[in-house]
Parts: sequence; structure tokens; C-alpha cells
Amino acid sequence: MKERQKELVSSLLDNELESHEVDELIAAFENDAGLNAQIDRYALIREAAFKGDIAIDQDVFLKNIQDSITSSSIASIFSQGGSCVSYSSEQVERLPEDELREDAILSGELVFK
Amino acid sequence: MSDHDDKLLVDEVKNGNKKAFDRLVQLYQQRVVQLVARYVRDRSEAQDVAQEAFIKAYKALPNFRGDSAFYTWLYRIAVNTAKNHLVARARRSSNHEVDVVDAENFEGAFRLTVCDTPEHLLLTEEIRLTIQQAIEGLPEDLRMAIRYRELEGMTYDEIAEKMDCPVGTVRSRIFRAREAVDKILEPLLSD
Repeated sequence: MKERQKELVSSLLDNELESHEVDELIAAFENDAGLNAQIDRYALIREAAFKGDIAIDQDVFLKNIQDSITSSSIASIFSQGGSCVSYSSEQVERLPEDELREDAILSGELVFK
Repeated sequence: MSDHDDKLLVDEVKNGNKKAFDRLVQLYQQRVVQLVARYVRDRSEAQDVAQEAFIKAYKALPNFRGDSAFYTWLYRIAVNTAKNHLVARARRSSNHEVDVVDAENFEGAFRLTVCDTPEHLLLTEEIRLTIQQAIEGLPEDLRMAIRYRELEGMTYDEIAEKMDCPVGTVRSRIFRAREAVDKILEPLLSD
């Protein structure tokens, strides 16, 4: 793993990448799995240095999620009483199966776009 | 809550009980926000990303088979979401012509994946102390640079002004500080 690439990872965490460096770093991530572990450890260092818990308004947090789920018709993905519910294409946000497979998530193949 | 209780809640969500998902959110929201904030330092931004992670988890739940614990699965979604957010944000910052929505849905073969289990990257008290001691032991220029960044949330420009040095030097100091701490941290995590 090159020092230059690790420095880019450090800058990515700080939102301090230059425009020409974004694509360079993306290419580096594709070719070096170690960079993923690197960013995880830098992030862990951040948490340790940060000190203290983040206070969140738990009711507001939950309500925002509930509102998103309701408004985006995600709720329609789930069956009601064991049987699938049919919705129009306007209502249902279809997600590519391979984005949501549990094994894809667990293996790290998953890419959220 | 045990893994078994989580599984019961997941089954209820799959059967259409949205309240059960509310319960899962209530159980894990603090941990997920804390986790995301490792990557996305701004607290408000971290909450937005954490909410996005829960929504993605909700979407993905029909495909969750329970091979892993629910939180392990949620953890990976949250970290993926946070990492992809970092890149989308970097693209937004570097190209003001890119629409915000486009940036969030950036195309390309880019992949940031999760390499470790939650247990592996758990911030234990031992690790926290080790990291804090390592930071304390850094040369002053590195220690101050990373403190300004992580504790006070200053930008590189602001730190450069504060430390009376070029921005490139700040960037290098923060990187070298992280590297120095990482050299102590990495063996602990691989034990």
C-alpha cells in the first residue's frame, strides 16, 4: 500500500480531497483491499479521539425514518399477513436483487449507489 | 436484547409489522449513529447517514436470512453507507456542477466494502486508552494537528492558519499522526 494512497484515505475522511484525487483514490480502492481496512482503522482512531457519546433526539430520529419509509412506498415491499401485496410501478421502488442479498452484504460485495 | 429477540422482531417486520422495525431502530440507533460518526465527523450529517442506513436495512430485510446476527448485518450496511457517503461528498466538494442527487447516486465501479466484523472493530476501553495514549505520545506538531481536526473539527485551512503553516503541511501532519497511531493499533486488532 503506497503512502500516497493512504494519505488520500486520510484526506477523504476529512473531506479535504482535491478534485483530481477523487478518481485516483477510487481506482486505488479497487486495486488494494488493504485500503478498506485502513479507512476503518483511521475511523476507529477518530472515534477514540472524539470522546463521548453523540446525543441524538431519538424520537425525531425514528420519525424521520418512519416518514421516509412511508413516503417512498418502501413499506410495500413487505407482505401483509403472509401474502404479497401488489402495487403499481409508481408506488413500488424496485431494488436490484443483487444489492440486497444478505450474502452480498456479508461478503462485502454489496455496493450501495 | 438477544440475537433471538432481534430475530423475532425481524420476522415480525417481514410479516408486515412496521412497529417491530421501529423497535429495532430504537434498539440500535445510538450505536449506528456512533458508528457512522467514525467516518462522517459532523454529528448532524452522521445522523442523516445513519437514518439512510436504517432505511436501506428496511429495504433489504426481505432478503435477510438470519445467517448472521441482525446487528452484524446492520453494521455492515451502516459502514457501507458511510463510506459511500464520503465519496459522494468528496465528489460534491470537488465538482460544484454535479447535482446533489447525482452525486449521491454516483456511477462507476467504485467499491468500498466492509472487511471486518463488528467485534473486530469494536472500540473497547482498552483500545480507546491505547489510541489516546498514542496520540498523547505524538510529536507536538502532529498531536496538535490531529487534535484541531478531530476534537475541534477544524478544516485544513483553519488549522494551517492556526499553526502558521501551509495546508499541505497540515494534511501531511494529520496523515502522519494517524499512521503513527495506526502502527500501534493494527497489531491490537489483529490479535
